[in-house]
Amino acid sequence: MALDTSFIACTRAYSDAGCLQFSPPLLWSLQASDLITTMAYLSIPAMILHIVFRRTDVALRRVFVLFALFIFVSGLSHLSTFLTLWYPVQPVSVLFAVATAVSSLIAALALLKLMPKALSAPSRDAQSRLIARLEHEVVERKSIEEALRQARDELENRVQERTAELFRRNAELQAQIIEHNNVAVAFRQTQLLLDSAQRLALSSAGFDTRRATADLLSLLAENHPFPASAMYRQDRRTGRFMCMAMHGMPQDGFSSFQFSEGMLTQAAQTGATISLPCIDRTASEATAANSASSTVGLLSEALVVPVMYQNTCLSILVLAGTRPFTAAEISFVESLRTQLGVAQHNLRLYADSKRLANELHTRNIEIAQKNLQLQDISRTKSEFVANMSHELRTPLNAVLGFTGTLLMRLPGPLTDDQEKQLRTIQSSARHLLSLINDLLDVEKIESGKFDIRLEEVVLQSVIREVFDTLQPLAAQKKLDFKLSLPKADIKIQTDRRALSQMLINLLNNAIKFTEEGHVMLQLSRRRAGNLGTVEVMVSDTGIGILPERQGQLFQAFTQLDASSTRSFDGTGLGLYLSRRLATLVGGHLNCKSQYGKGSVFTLALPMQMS
Amino acid sequence: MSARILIIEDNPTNMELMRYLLQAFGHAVHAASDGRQGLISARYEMPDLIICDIHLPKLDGFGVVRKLKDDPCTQVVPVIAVTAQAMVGDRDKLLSAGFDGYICKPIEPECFVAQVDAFLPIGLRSRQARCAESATADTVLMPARPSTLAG
Repeated sequence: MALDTSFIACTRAYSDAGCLQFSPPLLWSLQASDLITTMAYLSIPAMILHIVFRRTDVALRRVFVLFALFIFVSGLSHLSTFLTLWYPVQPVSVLFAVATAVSSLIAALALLKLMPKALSAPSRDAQSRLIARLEHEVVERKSIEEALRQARDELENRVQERTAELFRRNAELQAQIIEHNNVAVAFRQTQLLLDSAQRLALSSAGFDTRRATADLLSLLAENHPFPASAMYRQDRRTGRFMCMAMHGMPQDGFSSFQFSEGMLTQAAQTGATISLPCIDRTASEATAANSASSTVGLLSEALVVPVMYQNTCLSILVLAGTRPFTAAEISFVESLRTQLGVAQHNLRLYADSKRLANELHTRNIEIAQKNLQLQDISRTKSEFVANMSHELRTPLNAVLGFTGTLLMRLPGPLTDDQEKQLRTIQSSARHLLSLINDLLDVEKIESGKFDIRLEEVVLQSVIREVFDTLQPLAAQKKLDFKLSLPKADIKIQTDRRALSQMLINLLNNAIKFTEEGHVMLQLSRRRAGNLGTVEVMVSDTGIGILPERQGQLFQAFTQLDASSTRSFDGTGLGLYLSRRLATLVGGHLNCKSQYGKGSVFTLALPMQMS
Repeated sequence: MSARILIIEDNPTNMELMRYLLQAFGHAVHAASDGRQGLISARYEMPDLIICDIHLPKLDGFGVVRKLKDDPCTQVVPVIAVTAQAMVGDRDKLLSAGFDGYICKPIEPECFVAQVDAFLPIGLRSRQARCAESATADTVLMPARPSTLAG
């Protein structure tokens, strides 16, 4: 190597003379190797560049280009060395050497820069593994793709199947819908038929008056020589004639006839058919010409036919024809009007009964509403009466109380006048109190709040108590006040308070309405199997009761004679209360009276026979 | 002899009437105008007899009689109800509530004192009072005039 270097240095630094000191074989081998090197160095970059530019996927292309340049320049420097032996062009050699140095330096620097990248580049093994994995992945992907394709195919198959099924179902449904529609149409047609049949039946039955009349008029026009006709009805209140139906009339009615309400009235009153010739033919022609709608030709005669039923005019039929009527036609009209009379009478009856039924329904509703209102009022009244009698009683207590203390002469002695006036106050206040109590009792009975408390009562003892209480009253009027009681005690189950109230009322009345004679109470019993009745009879020789007034006797707030009200004080509630009480305890109260001679009141009470 | 009587009554007119009648026959009268005041007076005065209205403010007659009969001090004192409730069945209700007796409103002046006396020991009854039996009776009792009028 050291020899080579000195040789090369020699060839470059010195002239040919110095280099020619080499032996010729040595020099020729040097020259040959230079030439071969030059050829190699020139061909190698060409190949490198060729590869680099042909193979675009080669990595690190710039470095390869740099290597090619560096080798090419090295080749040029070897060429210049080779040529220098014959042509001493040292400056050119030096220039090539410099270029070689520069290009080799650049190549070295570029290589240095590339070192880490080159080191980190995957090794061949790794690359092959990577490739292997990639290949494997490709295989796998292919198999997955295959699977997917199969799945998609299967899905498509299914979708097709489903679609087919849906089409089938849809077709079925549509068939059903069509069938359903057909049925519905058939049904509606049947219904329409039924409806019209019903209407026809109704109109033929003649309940719809207007329709029946219109049908009749069109029948007359079709089958008989009466092309124009009208039916009039007289309003029951105003007496005016109103048209019910019209057939084939000119629009202005019978203007061509001297035809008026007067004519209709006349027919209605006489009950006879009136024949009416058409007087003004020209007017009639004009009318017929004007009214294009009229299908009737010229009218020449009209009949005004009152439809009668039992001398009452129900309606008036007006018939008109294009020629004078024959006798046969007129007799047909007469028989028609008789039949129409009966038919219209029936129709009227039917309409009346229908109207009455409607009215009845409305009335019933009204009555139900009134009833509710009345119940409300009754409740309010009950509360009012209860409150009112309590409020009235409180001050009355004081009046009675202090009148009592005065009459007892507790504050001091009284003059005769004072005592008389105080007694008047006392009796008036007592009367007022009994009135209030009666009202309260009536209210209690009517609102169902009167409590009946049954207990064993000895009738004789209750009667004697009442008798003793009223004895002074009878004595004042100098009446013969008598009792007739059986010796053996009569015990019954009853309400003691109700019983004594009834007895007081009956005896009080008897005394009140008797001026002379007697008032008598008789007690007797009647047996009927296991059950018995006790009768308490109160008889008097008083004024008696008129037979026609006896019905009102037990009504509330009635004293029989308006004039009696003046002379006999009383609440007008006593007998009413007594009868209600008698009913409440299971008995009854009756009256027999002879006007002017006296009355007998009988109170019958139930008794359990022992 | 005379008794000390407590009247529990909220209506002033009724109170005056009863007070006047009882005083006229020689009884001493204490007055209370509601149930609670009546209870206090009863415990404080220890009367010989109590007359009690049913409808009273603050504490009604039933409440008053229950408390009176629950209290050992006052349970021996007779309590008479004065009531406008003259309904059948009220009698049992009143007696079972603890009242010793009852007098119906409106009171009858002629009988009232005799009715009250019936609930007093014989020694405390007013000698003159006797029930006049009937409203139309002519006999009028003439007791001594009360020294003071209620007002």
